[in-house]
Parts: sequence; C-alpha cells; structure tokens
Amino acid sequence: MLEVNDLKVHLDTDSGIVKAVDGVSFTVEAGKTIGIVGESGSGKSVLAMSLTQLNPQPPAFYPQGEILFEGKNVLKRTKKDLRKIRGNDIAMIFQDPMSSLNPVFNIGDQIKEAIRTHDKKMSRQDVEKKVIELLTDVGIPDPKRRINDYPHQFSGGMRQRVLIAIALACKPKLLIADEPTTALDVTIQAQILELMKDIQKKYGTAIIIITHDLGVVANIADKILVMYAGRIVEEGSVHDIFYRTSMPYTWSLLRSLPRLDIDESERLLTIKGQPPDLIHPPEGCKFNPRCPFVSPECLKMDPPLTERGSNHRAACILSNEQFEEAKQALIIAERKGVHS
Amino acid sequence: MLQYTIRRFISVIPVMFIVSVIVFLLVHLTPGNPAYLILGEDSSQESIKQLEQQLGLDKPIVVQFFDWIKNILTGDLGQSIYSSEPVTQVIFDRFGPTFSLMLLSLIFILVISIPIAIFVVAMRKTILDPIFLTISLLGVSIPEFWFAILLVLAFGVTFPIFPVAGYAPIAEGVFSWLYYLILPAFVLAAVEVGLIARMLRDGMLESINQDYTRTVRAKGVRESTVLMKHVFANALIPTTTVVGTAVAGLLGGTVIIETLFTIPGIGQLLIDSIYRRDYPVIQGVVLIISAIYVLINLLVDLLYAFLDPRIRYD
Repeated sequence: MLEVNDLKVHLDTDSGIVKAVDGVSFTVEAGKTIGIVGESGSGKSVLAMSLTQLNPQPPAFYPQGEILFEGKNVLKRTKKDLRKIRGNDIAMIFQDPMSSLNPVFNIGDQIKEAIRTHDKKMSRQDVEKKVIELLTDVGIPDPKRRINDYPHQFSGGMRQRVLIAIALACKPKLLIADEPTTALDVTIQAQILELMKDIQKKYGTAIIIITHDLGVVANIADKILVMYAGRIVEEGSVHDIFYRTSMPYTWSLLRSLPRLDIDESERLLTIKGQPPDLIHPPEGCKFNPRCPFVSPECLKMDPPLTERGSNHRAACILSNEQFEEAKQALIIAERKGVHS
Repeated sequence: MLQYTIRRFISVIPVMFIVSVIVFLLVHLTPGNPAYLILGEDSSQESIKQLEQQLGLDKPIVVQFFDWIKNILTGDLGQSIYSSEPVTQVIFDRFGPTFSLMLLSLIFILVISIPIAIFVVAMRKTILDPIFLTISLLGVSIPEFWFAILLVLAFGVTFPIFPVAGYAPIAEGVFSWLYYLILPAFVLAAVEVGLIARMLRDGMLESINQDYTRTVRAKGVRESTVLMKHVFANALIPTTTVVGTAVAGLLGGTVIIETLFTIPGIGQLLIDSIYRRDYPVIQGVVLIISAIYVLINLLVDLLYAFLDPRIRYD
C-alpha cells in the first residue's frame, strides 16, 4: 500500500544542509503495523511528516526518492491532491496532545472539521452522530456532553484520544502515530496503545508508530525499523530485533531499556556519546564514534543493509556470528570490570 | 462566564474611586487659590470670597470631597463657570462628535489592519514581510498632528476632495457626516493601524507553527482556512488587548485631532475649558474620559473571555 524508495529528506538551514532522512526504503502493507524506532534526532519525525509532505518547505526538500501511496508518488502530487490524501487516506497523530488541539475551538468542532473537509455533503445530523460514534470508539465517556467541551477541559490522555478520533474521522487507510505516548503517564501509555490495537482491528487501518521506546513497539508492531542518523540500520520482526539483534546500535538500544528481571545493583546502561551531527555526519558507518565494536574498516565504508534471515536485514560489517562473538567478549569484559 | 463578568464589574469600583479622588484633587493641587485664578488678578476680595462660597471651597476638604462624590453619584457634575450650564449638559452636547470620530477610527483600524495582517502572513516568505515591517514602524513613529497636516494639504488643498475642517452631525445625513469625518478619523486611525497590524501579524506567525496548526493541516484543510480560521482566532487573543489600549489611545488623540479639524467634541471642550479656567468642566471631562477608559478596558476583558475559552471557564 505504501512503498518508500530510497527517500531523502534534507533541511536547508542557516548552518548547513541537515540530512534528516538519507536514503530510506520500506513498505507498509494494508492492516499491518510497523514501528520506527530511534533516538531523538534520528530523523524519524521528519520521515513521518514527509509521508504526507507536512514538513514546511522550505526548509525541507526532497532531493531523491519516491513515496508511492497506492501506486502514485506522493512527492509529485499537486497541493490539492495532497489535501485529499491528508486526513482522508493517511492520518496522523502527534507527540504532544496538550498542544495539538486548537485551544479556542471545542473538540466537537475540531472533529467535525476533519469529517467536513473530506465529505461536504454529509448532513449536519449525520456529522454529529459520527462525532459521537468516534468519541465512543476512542473511549471518551459521556461523549454527547463532552462534545461541546474545550481542549483545556480534558486531560492529556483524553486529548490524545480526541486526536485519535480526529485521525479516524475519515477511516484512513494508514495512521501515522509520531511518538503518540511519549508525553503521557505510563498507565495512560498502555491504554492508548491498547486503543490503537482495538482501532486497527475495527477499522483495518495500517499503522506506522514512531517512537524512541522499543518497549512501546514490542507489543504492537509486525515489523520494526531501527533508524540511526537518517538511515535504517536494522529491520525485522519483533522477534528478530529483540532476540536476533544484528546491529550494535539496536543492541545498545535494547541494553538501555530498564528491566525488572535484572539485579538492581546493575546500572542502567546508556549509549555513550551524542547522536551524530546530521550536517557533517561521521565518515563511514554513522554509528562508528559510539560503537563498542568499532574497527578501522568502519571508518572507511558505510555498510549497506544485508540479509540476516528471512525479512531481517541489518547494516553492519560484522556477520551475525562475528557480532555474537564480539558481544560475548564485551559482556565478559564488563563483568570482570565490575567484579575486580 | 457570569461570575467572571460580575468579578470584572466589581473590580471597576475601586479604580473609579481612585480616579475620582485624583480628579477632585485636580483643583486643590493647582497652586494658588482657584477662585482667584478663575476670576483673574484684578478681582476684588469680595468677589473671590463669593466664588469660593459658590464652589464650596470654604468648607473643610473632606467635606468637600464627600459632597463631590455625592453629587457625582446623583449625576451632578456642577455648573460651568463660563456658561452657567450644568456640566453634564455641556459634556453631553459635545459627546456626539467625539464618539463619531472614535467609532469611525476604530472601523478604519480594523478594516485596514486585519486584511493587511492576513495578507502579509500569507506572503510571509516573500520580500513583502520586511517591507511591511518598515511601513508599520513608520506608521507607529509618525506624529499624528504632522500626518494630519500632510493629509489636509493633500486631500483638502491640493486635491480638494474632503473639507479641511468642520463637522456635521449625523442628523444632517450620513453622507455629510462621513464627508467631514473621513479625513480626521483616518489620521486618528493611521497611528494605530501599524501597531495593530503588526501585533496581529506577530500573533499569527506565532500560531502558524504551533502543534495545533499542524493537526489542522494533517486533516487536509486548505491553507487559507488554516490561516483565516485557526491561526487568526488564536492571534486575536493577544491583539484584543492592544486594540483596547489603542481605542483608549484614540481618546487622547481626539484632543489633538478635534483641535486641528475644529470638531466640536470633548477634546476641544477640554482645551477650551483649560483656557477659560472652567474648573468644573475640566473636572467633568477628565472624569468622563477616565470612566470611558476604564469602561473600554472592562469591555476588552469581557471580549477576552469571549475569545478564549480558557478564561471563560476559569
């Protein structure tokens, strides 16, 4: 349904060209969920916005690649065509529900606008009914009364539900959720993820969920893409990513997840260093300055994605066996360091 | 909303009390004996005594103050020394022109600055924006009396389209009323247009990159609707405050403009009364102007609540 081929999205800023997305390819099948995971600044939000060309242009521009939605290149569509896609075929929800609703209009009007934009003929009563239906679907209690309330009268979790209702208003084929739970309490996070799963079952929507938290996608995604410095460095099923990790960056991300089953005396691991400067990215593999397994060769060439199993690909010069050995060696060395 | 309105109304009371104290003291803080000042150097001791009695200046100051408050509350602002008419009547007679002038100015301000701001924001990535900024700065900086003289020269003398001075009440017909008022109202508006268009532009540019605007765009709403509905509605909130102070500022401007265009309004009355040392009228006018000022601010506060639900439901 959605096919992204070798997409580059660059930002023309005062300090230089930021290569936010630098050659990314992936596909999304109808009704499936894919998770895009990466640190802040890895280009994942820019990627998400570019799928409906929501990034302001300038500074954003598209030097290369194509985004095929149902066979047609989104990048070549007219503004009018794009408006028909936005909200209707591809809907989005964003990171911060507290600021994503217009404070001066009530939520009923904001949902109605989403319906009206793509269906001007629907009668007033039908629109009203639809809004209440949507609010019920996203789990807002007493929707008939709350329809006239303003955003500030809702909690963060409830606002995210309203935003999901807006996104679902036209039964989109694809829902892009950019960090949908990051700004929410942990308990609310789980509820919102649960809601997204239910929605997918009911509406058959494909979902792209973008997050920095591998834990968020573990339960919900059919496929995970790991992004680093504007590129995909590993892709595969949840099982592949968690248990057959083939790329040092993914492994470091996994090790930095807080866990309950590990002795509390062990410190939470962090990935050393900063995400790379996307104006002047490092030579060779972009992860090399932070990689625990760096070798001289990593500074020379940027490895392409290679097959690591069925539908599992990773970008690292180490083969799976070499990586396994290196990992064991590192863990042993670390243990020694702790005990001595 | 009702509670908010009541609270706002109550807050006006102490403000007006303080204003009345200051206006009352106006006469008493003026150096010298007011009766003496009014009557002039050559007046006899007797006539000064008589006037003092007439003005109540011989009573203790506290008694005078409460008399004055009591009179205000019953709608009695005293008598004009110059014309012996009640001050309320004098002010009432002059109210029409000033109100007309302010109303037309306000209409000019809104009708000119709103489309300009929207247009400039829509063209924000072009050369138009810096040009607008320069012109608006110029508009704010130009002294209104100078601009008035310039316009009178242009449209009253070189191209005699509008009258140079004078006033026709609306009772004589809307057309002649407008005919006399357009030039002075435009001058009065000009200074504020730059400021308000600038505020609106800034407000819109701030709102245009907010998360909620992105949500609206993601719905597939056309950009013109995004601007004129969502962005504009949010920019109106900060702008309303400035419109309020601008309208209050118009009051001050009318003093100059009415004198320049010989419009028989409150501003001219004030100037005339100062020349005539007509203290009761001066006090009355200052009190009325302050009251209007406070009233406009009250209106702005209420309008604010109307525009911003976050205030309405507090």
